[in-house]
Amino acid sequence: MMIFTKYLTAILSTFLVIFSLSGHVDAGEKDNSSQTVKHYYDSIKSENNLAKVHGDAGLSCIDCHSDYTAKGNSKSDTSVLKLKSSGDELCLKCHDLKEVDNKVVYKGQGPSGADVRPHSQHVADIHCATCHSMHRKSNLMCAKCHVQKWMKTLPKRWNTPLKTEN
Amino acid sequence: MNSKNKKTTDMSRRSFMKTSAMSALGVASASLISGVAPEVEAKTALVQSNGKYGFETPPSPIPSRMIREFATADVIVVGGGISGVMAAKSAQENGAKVIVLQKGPVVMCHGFSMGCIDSKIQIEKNIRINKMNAITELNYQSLNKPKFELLKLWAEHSGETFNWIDDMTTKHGVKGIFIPNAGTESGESGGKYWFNSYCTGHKWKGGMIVAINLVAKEAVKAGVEFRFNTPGKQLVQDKSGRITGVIAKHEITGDYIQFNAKKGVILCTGDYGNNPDMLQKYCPAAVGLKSYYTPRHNTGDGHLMGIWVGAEMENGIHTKMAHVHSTPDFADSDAPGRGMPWLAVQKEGKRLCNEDIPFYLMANQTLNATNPDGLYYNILDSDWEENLKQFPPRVAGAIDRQSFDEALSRGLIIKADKIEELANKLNLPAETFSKTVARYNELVEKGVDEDFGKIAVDLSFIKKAPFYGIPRLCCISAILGGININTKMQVLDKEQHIIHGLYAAGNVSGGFFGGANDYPFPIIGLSVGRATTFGRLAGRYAAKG
Repeated sequence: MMIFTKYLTAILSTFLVIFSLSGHVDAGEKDNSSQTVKHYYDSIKSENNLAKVHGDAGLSCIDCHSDYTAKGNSKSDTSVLKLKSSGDELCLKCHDLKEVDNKVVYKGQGPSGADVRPHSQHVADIHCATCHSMHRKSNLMCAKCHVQKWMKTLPKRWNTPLKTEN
Repeated sequence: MNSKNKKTTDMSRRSFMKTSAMSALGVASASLISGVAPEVEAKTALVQSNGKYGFETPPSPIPSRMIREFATADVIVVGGGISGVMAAKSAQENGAKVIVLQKGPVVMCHGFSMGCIDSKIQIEKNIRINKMNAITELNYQSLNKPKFELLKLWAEHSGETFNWIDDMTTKHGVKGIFIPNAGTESGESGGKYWFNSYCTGHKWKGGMIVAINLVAKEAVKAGVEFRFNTPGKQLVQDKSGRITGVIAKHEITGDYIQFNAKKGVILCTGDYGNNPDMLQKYCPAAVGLKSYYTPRHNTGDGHLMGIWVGAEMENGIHTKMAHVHSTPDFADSDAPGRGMPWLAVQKEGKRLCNEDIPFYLMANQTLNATNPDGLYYNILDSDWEENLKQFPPRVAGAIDRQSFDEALSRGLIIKADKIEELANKLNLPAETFSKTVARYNELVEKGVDEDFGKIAVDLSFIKKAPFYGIPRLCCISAILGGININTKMQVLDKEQHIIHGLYAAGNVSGGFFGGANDYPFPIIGLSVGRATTFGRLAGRYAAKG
């Protein structure tokens, strides 16, 4: 978590690419709905998406996106949905990293009863968007290597964690 | 979750990984390079014609026109695991500007126990292990193959290395703990055939991965730079033969980056347990066993970079560490009672061996079965708790009613009312299996193990239903063979000459286990103990140039 800044550019680019590749938005899940502005708008109401939590908190598209021109005539054009700022910076405008880290602690659920702090466990090149996604299911990267009880208690918007690849 | 669902989600996870690793950005950069690329990646397939493996032929040097970025530091550490993090912190403390290149996105390692002698905790507890006795026993069990001077170096510096790490982790509220019940001060733990160990084990709650991440945090705070997703690919060598840097390839962007080292490059890339060709050549005794190491980053990168610039690999066959688990998934906990002397059968339903043989040697017998898969099965009956009172104490996985029931509910222990039913559930040939159990009961009755010579007190009946089977999977934790080094951690060539500017520590370095068939156990936590101690020494020596 300590080495964020250097990778912001890379993350930003990845973000923009994901947003502009309609139809390939989510390689991780089979989603046949057309990737239109409507899709993104609907995601604010879907239990499968972190966007809903933000929508419920009273946020709308323009809180994260700029250049929002979809007024009925450009619904098929998603490339206009640009992020207001890049990568972690966007999330950290509202969320405090220390607060998040201190809040998400799974007591005694690590190996030999150690606490697990998913947001600060590793010195790493890990960003908010490495796991959290707004308009599709989030992916628990921890589950790539670890199997821990808390992983089964996450809300529906998380992909079911699986054991290590073999 | 049914298997179909599992598969679907598994696919999605893999695709997700693919997406993140191969973002369109990465693909675009990679395509800039392809087309003009010489063969700068090592070949992986066997080259049959000259009898050599593809990896033995050095790839073409990566031309400087393909380098997208240059960076310079005093010391470049290749690998951010146990030895790499120690090397980086130690080099920084000795005045060097340090960059660590890590494969994948995180500082990570395996391992739970760090072996050392004369830690502050041992001294507080007045446990004074005789260093020379301990390493002499280690040398004997390693068939007199190790470089004794390296064993001495570990014995002399391991205690202070523990103290050094512990000072850093304690700052973060995680104190090192001495493991008192594995081994003894005298190195004798009881029976002749059970393993005898010195009580050298130390641990941090949560394992070595917690400890090294805390050390890495201290390193970052002190100015050490970590580059992630940036595995080293080739060393840079000047005309005099000195190593002056390393070229890495970013796993996401595909860009080549050259890291110049003013003082030295330290290889800390771990072992090669997930490189099938290297296993075939250097450790055929491990072929047929699954790897317990995930993610599959341990592909011998440092070994290869080393041999391509003339480093000498230690004599094969290399030492394998094949321990006993329930699944090849290291994140999953294992069934309890590993190492208890209940009847053990192999996949053909025959008895495996004298069950007093320590768990770390069980793999070898499983390999004698047809189409070996590393599996064997402990067989017990409903009196298993009584058996535990009968068996003399030994170093083994703890087992009690609670852990037993939990493993049973997770399917790590299989229960059946009849022996034939147990055979079916374990997928063992019922007829052979039934005969094996009957014969074993006969031997218990006689009080003499006529078949394998196990001591009588470790024989116990399998008569009272329900019966239980505990599948045990022997899999490879690490391969402990590497490129030769001297006592300054400097890499040596075929003539034992120093390759200046190049250091190695941890599992990429050789000469410590010497190539005995299996990782010996007289010193608990020795592999991690070596990685920490030698990583720290390598950092110090490299920083001093």
